[in-house]
Amino acid sequence: MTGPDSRENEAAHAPAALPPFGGIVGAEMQTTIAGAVWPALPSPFAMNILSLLFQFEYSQWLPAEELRANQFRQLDLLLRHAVETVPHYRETLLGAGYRPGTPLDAETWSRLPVLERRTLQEKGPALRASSYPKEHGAAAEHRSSGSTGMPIAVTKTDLCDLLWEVETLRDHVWHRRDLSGSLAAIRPRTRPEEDRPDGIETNMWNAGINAVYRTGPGMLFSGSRPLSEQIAWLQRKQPVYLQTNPSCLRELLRAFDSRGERLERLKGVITYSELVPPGLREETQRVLGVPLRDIYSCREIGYIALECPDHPHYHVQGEIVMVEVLDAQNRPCRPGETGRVVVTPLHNFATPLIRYALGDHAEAGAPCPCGRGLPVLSRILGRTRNMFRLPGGDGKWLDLAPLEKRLDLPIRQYQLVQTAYGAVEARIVPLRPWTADEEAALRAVVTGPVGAAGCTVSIAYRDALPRLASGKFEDFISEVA
Amino acid sequence: MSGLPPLRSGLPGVAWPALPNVVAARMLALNYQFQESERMPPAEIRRRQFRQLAALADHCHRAAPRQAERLAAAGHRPGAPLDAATWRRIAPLTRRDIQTLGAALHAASAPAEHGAAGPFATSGSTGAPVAGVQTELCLLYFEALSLRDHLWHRRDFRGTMAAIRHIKKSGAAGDSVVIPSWNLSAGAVFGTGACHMFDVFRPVAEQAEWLLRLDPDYLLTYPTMLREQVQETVRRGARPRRLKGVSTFGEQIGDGLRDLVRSAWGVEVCDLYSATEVGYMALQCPERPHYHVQAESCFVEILDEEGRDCGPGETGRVVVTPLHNFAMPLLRYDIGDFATVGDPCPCGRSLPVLTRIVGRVSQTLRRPDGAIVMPGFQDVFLKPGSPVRQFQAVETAPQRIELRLVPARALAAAEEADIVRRTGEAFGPDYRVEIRYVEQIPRSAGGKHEDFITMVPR
Repeated sequence: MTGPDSRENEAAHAPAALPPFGGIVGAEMQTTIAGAVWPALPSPFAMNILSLLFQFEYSQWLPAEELRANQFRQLDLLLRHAVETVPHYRETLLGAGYRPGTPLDAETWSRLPVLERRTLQEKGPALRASSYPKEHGAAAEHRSSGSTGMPIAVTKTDLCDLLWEVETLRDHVWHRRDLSGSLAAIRPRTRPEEDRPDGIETNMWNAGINAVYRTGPGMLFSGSRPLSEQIAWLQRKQPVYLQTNPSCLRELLRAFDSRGERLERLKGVITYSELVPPGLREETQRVLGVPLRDIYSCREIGYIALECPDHPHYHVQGEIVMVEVLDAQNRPCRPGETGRVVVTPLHNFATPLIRYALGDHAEAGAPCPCGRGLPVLSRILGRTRNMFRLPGGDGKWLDLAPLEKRLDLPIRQYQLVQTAYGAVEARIVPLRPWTADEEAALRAVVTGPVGAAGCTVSIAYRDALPRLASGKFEDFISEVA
Repeated sequence: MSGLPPLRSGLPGVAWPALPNVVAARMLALNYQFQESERMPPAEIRRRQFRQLAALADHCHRAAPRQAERLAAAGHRPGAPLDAATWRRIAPLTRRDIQTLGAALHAASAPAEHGAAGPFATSGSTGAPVAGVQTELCLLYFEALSLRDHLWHRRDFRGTMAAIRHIKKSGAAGDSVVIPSWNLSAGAVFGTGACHMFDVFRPVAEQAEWLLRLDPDYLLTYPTMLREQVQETVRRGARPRRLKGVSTFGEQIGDGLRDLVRSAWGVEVCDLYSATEVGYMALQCPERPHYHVQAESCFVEILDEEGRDCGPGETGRVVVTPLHNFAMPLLRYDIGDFATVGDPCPCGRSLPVLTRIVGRVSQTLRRPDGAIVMPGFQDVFLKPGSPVRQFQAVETAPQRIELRLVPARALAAAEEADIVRRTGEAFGPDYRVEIRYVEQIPRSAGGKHEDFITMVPR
């Protein structure tokens, strides 16, 4: 109870705003218990997501040293597991001075070897754990050519998928998205059954988010359909959010700009998978009148960094990945310096990736004024893409996934170049000399599922495929104006 | 915000962030929502409460005939939206109604997912216990709010908890009971130190001795018992050295007790406003010594004599509707307490504020001018080393106060005169105070004590 002087005490205190805490005002949480509408009791899966999100709400404000201490606590378990279950790591980690049972520190960590993308490519399944805790769920294989056209494959567990959903939700929470609105995605990679003139429509953004909050409808359109169809579809659907990659977005912006049109209900654009070229954010704001928010993720790892809610740079998702930006001597870059991105997912016990150089470059940032202790990346240099040009001025996106799935082809790195309307050059850095059958198989994939139907495909073998001066890598280039 | 203690992880290989077990995940999922809701605009909180009340009303129409009758009498039809005007037309249900109607208030059924319905009975602080049933779902929300209380007050879960309260035990009286964690939710989510319980019916000398020997990090007990424990430790020239905080519940917390505990033990008192039949109604603000209504668990109305909502500074009857007890829906239950409404809290939490829980009708005084107050005379006995072990003021007839005292030693005439004078001043010029010495002041069956009771019918 208050004493008689309580009013005076209250008056003496300036009103204090509580620090922000997650949640999306107006969003309705799902409940699985009849009659328990609010507060809701969602499914066990959703409660796991919320349990983690609850912790993330606190951990985002941890000072850098405390964050690091927690990461090492988790990394210690990962390293012990890797030593026990992956011969490659037993050799390399013990060889570098890691001793299971001795608490991990920054000095020991810095001595551990960097896992090059090339090593992952060569060793492949040998880096997978011989066993992992069954509670982490089933493991599934994920393939990627990353940002450099170098295909790799790793296995990830259900636990990794859970963390993916948590991060997806955190991104929506950070950017205060209106989950009741519609979300339209245009993806260059779609399954054949999704490649329809009217796109695909479901009643939710995705199953994970919808398990927690009731979302508006989700819609998907194939980027391999002509740009003119993409525009017409968006005009019909009038989405509240648009999710696509920066290359797709750039083309869409050009088209909307030349028509002088906008999407009237649009509140935001979400991009992923490639670097955001200079000027694209401003163009999005100018042409569509909404902000662009980017996600830094990759298939073999999951989420790596999300855009700060308050500042135009990225926060490393330190609760699920340890990210280092290293210079040519593998020393940590200082703020403002650009180096290789070296990532350690904290919870993938199926294919432990310890200090994995995934092939991207990033600029290390100074601590963020927003107060979050999560490390900052001020710029990410990744992949960019071009449209496949069609006679008459239209264009479409090639789907490179079918090519990336052909791990039987001895590709270290690839790049496709449209040299003329009917001609594609496949530049290949080979793992070994190719057979005639393999060359035929490559041509069949490029003119078939990849989408360069009717083209002649020439194969050019190279020693290396360099990045552009900007740091971008183009896995598909069109030289057709 | 950064200070979240380490959580228990239920998954091998995962230490951080923790993957909690099923029980803990529920607690965190609810606390995530609590963190959201305590920042919502008051109108949004109310909108959500009415969504939940509508679900409860629908259930009443289907399965709780007595409550359905009350809803119908207020003009609510099954499936119709539930608005504030309709809600206000529901006549409050009194404790006596619950005692009279008994099992007729139970629902014929509750959704299976709400778990088994178990019996409860209040400790009957006023000699009128209330009995009923509540589901496991109610206990789930109760536990989630217990966790909120710990988090709000930033307790160190590694510490030991001592609870001096009514304990249901099978061993001999005086036995202390030890359970491995403070409560279900804190144990599941964080893991806690042990909770040691001691019977409140043992003499206060034994309680103090036990407390000093245990030297816990936290103490949970009734306000009046706490007062006696503090006085006893002061008499012994000792104090529990490790103590970080005291929580009180079950009774009104009298003026001066916070100061007494602060000066004698050097810690703050944190009060809980709860009742067996409805769970937590309000928890103490982490930053101010007043209460935030637990709007996610119950709809609390403070009503004046005409049944209108009281405004800030006004005191009225507490009418509470537990949002989630579908086994025994209690729509607009007049629990018999009075409380004072507060202004919005500067802490930033938008949950409604109660500045005082004034107490039961039988524990409140109606002054000749009609004002209902909780008489504040306790300070008379609250200085360390007071010669009075226990006290109770009883209004035996209008404006006649019998002051029952259990003395620690014989009081000098001047001391008696001083007590009578100061108590009289606290009650007001129209009151006559007489001392009556007694050997003990018995507690209720639940271990509760009232500083003041009135025998004057109202």
